[in-house]
Amino acid sequence: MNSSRLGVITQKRLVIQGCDILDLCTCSDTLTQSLRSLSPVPSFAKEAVASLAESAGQDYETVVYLLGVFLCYPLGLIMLALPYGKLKHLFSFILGAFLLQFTIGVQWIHHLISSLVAYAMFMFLPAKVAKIAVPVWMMVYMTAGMYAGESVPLRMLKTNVHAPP
Amino acid sequence: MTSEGHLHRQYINYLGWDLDFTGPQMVLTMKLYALAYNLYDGQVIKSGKEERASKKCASVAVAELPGIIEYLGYTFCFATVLAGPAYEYKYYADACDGSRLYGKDGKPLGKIPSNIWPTVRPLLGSILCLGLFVVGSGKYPLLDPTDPQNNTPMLISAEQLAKPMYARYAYSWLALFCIRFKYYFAWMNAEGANNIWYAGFEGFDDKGNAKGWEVSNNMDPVKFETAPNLKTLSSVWNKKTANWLAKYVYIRTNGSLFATYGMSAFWHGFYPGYYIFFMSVPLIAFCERIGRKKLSPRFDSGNPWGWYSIVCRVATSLIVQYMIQPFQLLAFDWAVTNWKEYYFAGHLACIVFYLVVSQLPTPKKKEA
Repeated sequence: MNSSRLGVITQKRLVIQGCDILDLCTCSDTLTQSLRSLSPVPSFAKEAVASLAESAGQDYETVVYLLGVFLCYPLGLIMLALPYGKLKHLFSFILGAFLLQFTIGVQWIHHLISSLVAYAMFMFLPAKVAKIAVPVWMMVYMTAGMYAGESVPLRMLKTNVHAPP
Repeated sequence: MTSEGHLHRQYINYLGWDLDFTGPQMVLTMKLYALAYNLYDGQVIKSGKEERASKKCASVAVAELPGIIEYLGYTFCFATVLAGPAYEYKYYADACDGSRLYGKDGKPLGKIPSNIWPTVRPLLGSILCLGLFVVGSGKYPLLDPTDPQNNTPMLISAEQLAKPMYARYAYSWLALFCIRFKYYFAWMNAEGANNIWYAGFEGFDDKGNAKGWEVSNNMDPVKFETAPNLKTLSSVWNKKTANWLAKYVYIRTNGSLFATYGMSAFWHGFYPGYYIFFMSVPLIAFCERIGRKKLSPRFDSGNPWGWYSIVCRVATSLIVQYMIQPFQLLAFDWAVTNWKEYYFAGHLACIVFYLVVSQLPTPKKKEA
């Protein structure tokens, strides 16, 4: 009985994430599906977190965030152990992407998109222009995200978004 | 049984972390905003041009565009990706290639300090803050815990409004005090996660003495809670955001306070509450300026815990807690309703203070 309930909880969360992505970039269902299958976080981990959240009386997001921030410590130990140079950079990126996937789900794709576009700007624009263009791009992307996604403050302004129908 | 669990959940989870990508995106915005200027400064310095702002930020300038792996390593850096602190690329890069600890010949630049206490201290501190936040905000919630769907702010609920003004204010002071521990928790936690691999370490001075661990430090709770003035208060809260605003907005706009506060509000999001707060701050700043000119020379004994200083500390806390309320209420009508219920007492107090104190004769400056 318990496991099926957990299944429902996990699935609900996934659907919510899927919706966010859909709202934001009007992706097709299939793309959302394929993004979801890219997830490096195994499903058993999600179930474990869901059951932990249930027993602690907290919601999934809160528990996952708390686990995520404390996870930084063992990840930091890995960083410390790695030799100086490119390997550290590579792992910083991979560990960060893992952490984002773990906490905010497939939405981390936004992090990648906005980073890469900014990088292209750095590559092709003169520094004098990039110092204006990159900040503008980042500000616009972030603000658009605040509107399109249901960020916490925005949710507080809307009423009844999560009320049962 | 079920309903009991449900109530428990509502009570505990009055303001859980609702997660989406905007939090990390805010951190990323700061990082890349800074990097754009760091790269520009690098170019300016390389070309030998004289620019005051670039000179000031020379220590964090970046000469060449980093490779894609290094770049993504910075933007995705696990220790800063969730809640910051958004320090400059230079610090990150130096931590990864070891140049903050070791010279080009591979020898340490000084006696490398242990990273154990700088890691354990913020970790323990963050756990303490988490506990205080959960207990404190459970007792003095900011949002109505019995109605999580609507997230109605407690400050303007009928039950609160029935209370006398001082009681309402006391409640709001406590609620805001408790909610700050959420930020203290997240930032302290990140501080330790950076220090563990020496990303928070500042390096050595010319004599080989270790400088400290300021890179990853984003706030000082004790200093913040007992700040004697606005300047101290804002300089110890979210230091990395303040650093970003100072280095890449303030000094690049010829010291425009308006541009800086405007950018700060823009960065926080398009919520009226933020603008109302940031636009009210100058009112306090004016009062402080006049107080510093007319009152401080008379009463300030220079003792940081003298009676004058304590009055300043209490006054700062009281007025800031009043002004900052819209920041948590967000919506324009909620913010105005709330202030109206206080008859705009804080604003009036500021204006009266300014008018009265500005009439006092200016004491002669002591010989410096």
